[in-house]
Amino acid sequence: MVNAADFAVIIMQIILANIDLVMNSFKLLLNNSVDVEALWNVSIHAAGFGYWFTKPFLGDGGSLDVASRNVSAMKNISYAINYIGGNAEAIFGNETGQKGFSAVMRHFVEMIDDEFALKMWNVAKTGVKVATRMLENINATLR
Amino acid sequence: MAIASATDFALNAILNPISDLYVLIYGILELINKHLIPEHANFIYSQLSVLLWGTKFLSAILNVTSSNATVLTNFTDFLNTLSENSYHFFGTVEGNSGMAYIAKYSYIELIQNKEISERLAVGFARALNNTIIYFVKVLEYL
Repeated sequence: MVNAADFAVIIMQIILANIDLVMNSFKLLLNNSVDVEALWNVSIHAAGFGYWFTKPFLGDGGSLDVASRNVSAMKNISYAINYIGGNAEAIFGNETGQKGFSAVMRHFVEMIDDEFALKMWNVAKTGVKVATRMLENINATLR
Repeated sequence: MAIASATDFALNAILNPISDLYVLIYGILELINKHLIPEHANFIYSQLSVLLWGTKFLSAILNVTSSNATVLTNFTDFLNTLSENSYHFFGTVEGNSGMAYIAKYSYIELIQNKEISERLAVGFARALNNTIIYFVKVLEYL
């Protein structure tokens, strides 16, 4: 049966895979064949869709708004909060990191090494390059 | 030629299926949560493994795209086609075209139709409740 250390390993692997994913997408965006103007055009229209997509969930009269005034919905939210509240130490653990999420994080922190930190800063550096490429001619793209 | 009103489409093709999806989510998770025992901690661990390999899969596709000239040309063609048609595909903040138009009418239908908005709100809260319990349960077993 898996334990907290196994969970820490898989979470580390997922974070490393996500770093690779972000790094590879940055490499793609830094390629000169990829048109910055096209990226901005797609982003602006996608943001327009995003605006209307979030309204039914978060806007006035949307799901969260209605849920906050509906007894049945709030009862379900209370169940979740009560469940977490009643088992807080088992779920989140304590400062010694022997139980729950704290145990996973303790093992996770023990695995962090130079290589991991280097990867993080490499992604940050490449991210700055992507942002610079996207923004260097912004006054010509967005008027 | 109009074949249906936008709000009818929003109700039948967007809001009702989302409501059914919430029922599906809490219907499955309520059963699982009832039967999840400490011996099943690897149940969620296995799902994290699938997530890991799904992420690696996407990462590998992006890596090949940025390093292979033919694939890169196909990607830039895709990006340019999407850019040229993004007004009709995504739409704009005015919500007069594309998916933004459908999302706008879904919102309009939602604020006008009290029955569906309450059904969605309760379904959303019940699905959220069970999803939270599902994920925190495994932490209890560690």
